[in-house]
Amino acid sequence: MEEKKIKYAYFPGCASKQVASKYDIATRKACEALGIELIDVPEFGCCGAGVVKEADRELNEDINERNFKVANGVDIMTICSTCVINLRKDLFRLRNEGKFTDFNVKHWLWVLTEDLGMEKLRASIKKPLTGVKIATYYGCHIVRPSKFVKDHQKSDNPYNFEEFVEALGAQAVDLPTKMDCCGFHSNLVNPKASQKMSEKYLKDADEQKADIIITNCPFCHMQFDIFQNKYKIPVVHMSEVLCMALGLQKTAPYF
Amino acid sequence: MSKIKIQKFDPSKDEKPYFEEYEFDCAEDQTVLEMLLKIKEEVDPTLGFRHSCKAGICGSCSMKINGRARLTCKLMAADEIKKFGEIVIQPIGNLKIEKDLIVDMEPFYKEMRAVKPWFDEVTGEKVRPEDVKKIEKSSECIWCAACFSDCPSRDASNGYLGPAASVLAQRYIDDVRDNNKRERLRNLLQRQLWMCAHCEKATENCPQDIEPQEVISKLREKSIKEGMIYNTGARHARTLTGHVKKYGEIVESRLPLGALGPFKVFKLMPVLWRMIRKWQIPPLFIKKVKGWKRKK
Amino acid sequence: MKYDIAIIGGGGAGLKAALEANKSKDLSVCIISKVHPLRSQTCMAQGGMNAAIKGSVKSHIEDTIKGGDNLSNKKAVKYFCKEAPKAIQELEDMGMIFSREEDCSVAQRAFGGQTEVRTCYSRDYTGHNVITTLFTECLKNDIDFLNEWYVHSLIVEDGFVKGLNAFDMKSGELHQIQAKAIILATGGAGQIYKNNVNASISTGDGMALAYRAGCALKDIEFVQFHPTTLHHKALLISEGTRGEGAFLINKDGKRFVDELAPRDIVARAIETEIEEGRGINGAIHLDLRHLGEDVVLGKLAQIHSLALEYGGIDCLKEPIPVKPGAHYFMGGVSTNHKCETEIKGLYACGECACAGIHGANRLGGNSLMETVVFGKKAGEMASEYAKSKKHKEIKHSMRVEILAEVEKLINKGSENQFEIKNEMKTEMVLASGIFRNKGSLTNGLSCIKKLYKRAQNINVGNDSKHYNMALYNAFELYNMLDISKAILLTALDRKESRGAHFRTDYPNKLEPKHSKIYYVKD
Repeated sequence: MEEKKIKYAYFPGCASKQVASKYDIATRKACEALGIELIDVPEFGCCGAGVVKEADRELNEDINERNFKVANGVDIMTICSTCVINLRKDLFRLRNEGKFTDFNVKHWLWVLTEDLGMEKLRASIKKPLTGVKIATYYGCHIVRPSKFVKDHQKSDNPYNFEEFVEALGAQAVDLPTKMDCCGFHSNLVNPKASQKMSEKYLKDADEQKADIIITNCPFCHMQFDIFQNKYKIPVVHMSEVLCMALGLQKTAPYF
Repeated sequence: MSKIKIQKFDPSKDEKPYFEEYEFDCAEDQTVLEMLLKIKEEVDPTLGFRHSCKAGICGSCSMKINGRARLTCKLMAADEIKKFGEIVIQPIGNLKIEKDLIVDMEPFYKEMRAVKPWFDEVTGEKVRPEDVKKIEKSSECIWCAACFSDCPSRDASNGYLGPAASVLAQRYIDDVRDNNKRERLRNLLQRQLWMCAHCEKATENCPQDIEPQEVISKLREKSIKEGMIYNTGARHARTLTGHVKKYGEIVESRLPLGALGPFKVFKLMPVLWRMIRKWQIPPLFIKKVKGWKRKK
Repeated sequence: MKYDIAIIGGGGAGLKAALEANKSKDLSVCIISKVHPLRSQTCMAQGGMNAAIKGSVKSHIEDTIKGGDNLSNKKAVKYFCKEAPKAIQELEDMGMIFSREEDCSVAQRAFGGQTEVRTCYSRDYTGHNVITTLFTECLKNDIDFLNEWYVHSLIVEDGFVKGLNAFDMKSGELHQIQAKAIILATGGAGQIYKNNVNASISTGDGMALAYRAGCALKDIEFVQFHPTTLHHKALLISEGTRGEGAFLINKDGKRFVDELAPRDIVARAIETEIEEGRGINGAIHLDLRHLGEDVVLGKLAQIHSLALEYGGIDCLKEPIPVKPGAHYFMGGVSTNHKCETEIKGLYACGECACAGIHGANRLGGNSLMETVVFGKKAGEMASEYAKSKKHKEIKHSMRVEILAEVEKLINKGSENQFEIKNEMKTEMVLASGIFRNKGSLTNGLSCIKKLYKRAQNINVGNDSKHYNMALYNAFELYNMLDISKAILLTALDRKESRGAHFRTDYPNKLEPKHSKIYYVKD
């Protein structure tokens, strides 16, 4: 029996289109290599980022309904955790009103672990990252609030990100602070406090001598990578690490 | 037999907190609090922890279980063992430990008092059923501090009032009888209402399902509507929303300028430098999203 | 330390007393509570508080007296029912959230044993809203709180109350507090029974304090067993469910009692069904399914989540298994309708007091109202008294004796207090539960006396100065043993069945009715 092709409407989100363009490029390359079809929808707009609702609630309620409409029945995949939680919050709200009941929004990590499966992923790896210690940082939005993500993601003691890293041949560094907040959303309001928040995980990863930190959200990446300079540990988007393991790129620019 | 690790500390005897391990047989429908009471009665009478109603309504028994603050009388021990293989019990965070699992709640109570949870001036309006609905959920707050315990913004900044106090403030701001809305909102801004980083830990921990993050978002929205827009948080939200209205998307490169203003934005020079060095420069101009109709 | 008025207990009654006493700006008032006030028993009340805001006060009086099986003090009941509507207004003025009717009036629901609909409610969070409102009002008025202080004993000399001895639980330091007037508002003693729906702090402290100081305990044998508590978990399922129309069903799917009869009747009916084999696994079913989502998730939200979280039952789809559990003490420190005890300067209000309003059986909704009405009265009376008096010098400080007692509990003895406590709780259910008889009561008495003796030899197993909870648990155990003994003696003596006290060997009522007063001189 022919296997159903994995196909998603691709929602990179504002950050991945602008600052974190490398994340976007790496994702596209990896999906091509893995046989995942990404449908570009130029009509996709901002997810609201959890911020638009504070300045214009009505606008926020409209923009995601529009995003779901223009996806035209194809489930959405996003590579940004902030997008995934804001899209799913609105999806659940609209489902309560009887709309989009068989439509879904998934994070790239869930597509890899659920749709593709770790077995297939392991089989596609050309350059296993043996000996590389990768600290897996979940952040907030992919795991909380659990009621919006529990169909795909465990919020208590999750392990899917580590499984992904292990499938790439690397060694996962599982830290207790992996779901602590990076502080990005308050880095303009109170930069010092925001720094303190990110330092919790960075310190942990540093002490455990991880080689790199891997993220699933371009905002967490920004917060750890360019908004701080105290800890020099390299921070890499999950797609870039994946591309390295697939033999599609030699290294990330800051290795 | 399951492994139970309880953090202990007696200030008159111990230099710092340590973990005591117990082997315990958890019954199927036993709550973590019932388990603690049994350990105290049968194994270790020195154990100190707060409890009263055992029914999830008084708020005494919040503790950190396996890293997350919860009400122990509402948590099934067997569920935690299934998820984590053991139960690690610590006192709630962001507060000083007095003894074992008992913390000094005074800083928490201070924040609750500071939002003035009473009427000073009343409007004289009558209360209709739909008015009660607006404040019903936040009035369910039992002051358990499970949200406050894990709040990273409070940990990073003592000046931030925390989720519970924000919820308590909302209960009064949205009460039709209260005539002090603007004053209350101003107070909240002074107590760094915009520090909330949307980490949703409060929403996850709250035993009453109050969703403090949504409450805080709505309070911030109210403050903007009341014209309190001359602070970084409000400026950030309005700039971002302005971009979305115009282009359908955020223009990241222009966001800091809009949020911080032309003087403070220079503080971000190191960030800009690192952006350039690492080739992560966002474009200054973007195209409108396809099919986007510009909103007023 | 000196205060004009010291209030022991920070629940609904204590907080209201403090607010009233605080109105006299030249009196110093403090609340001493062994837990933070918001953790008091009051927060657990769910269903509502009775007040004739639209109906007739006369009908409220009649229903209360009838529900009390003609044992009530009529003067006290009249005062209570007359003041109740005022109390609702006072709570409203403080900002209390009540459920509302379309015309903005306070919503009222039907409750057991009442001929008019008069139970004002706030969904099923009435107690939580009452205590939060009163507490925040106390914060507004800057009232002094001594939280997590355990009162060991009252200082009574020459027939006057002069002060009290209390431990600051945080540091373990013993303090003597001089007070002109003391108000006891410490709640009930439900923890005496194995299956009870009370907080762990409900250990009869105030009753025992007064009793040892020479006060009488009145009607102490009348213990209310709430008909519907969640099976296996002893959690309260409010009468509000029956007020909204829920049914009680036995194993044959049949109703067997008027769900809105007074609580003693319903409790006995349920217990009989279970004992005679018509129960379902030792319980009866409380059926809410026909009430619909709007009512259950709207007006009974807390109960829906309690049943789901603790019993794994969605009451919209399945009935809730329930059985009776110890809930409320009609009896307590004997007072008149003005909250005055026999000792000058000592007042008592709320569940720990017995002004005689509930008689032999309390109507649901009357006790939450009792806290605010009599809390206010006690505050008023204590203020009047304190204004006209000076502090009296304490002749004999009990410091040495108390510290010796503590030393003995920490360093001497060998008995485990929790073993003694659990034996007491099991025995009390067998001896003086819903159905009592001479045999069970006598057995109980001899068992309690033995436990008493063993309790003189307790070692608490905890020598910490800070938050030594085991030490304060031992004091609570002594209080509970005192109250247990009082219940058994008076229950043995009352050779009739009236209200909540049912003797299978004396199933009829005696005429004329009499109220037993039990003195410590026994």
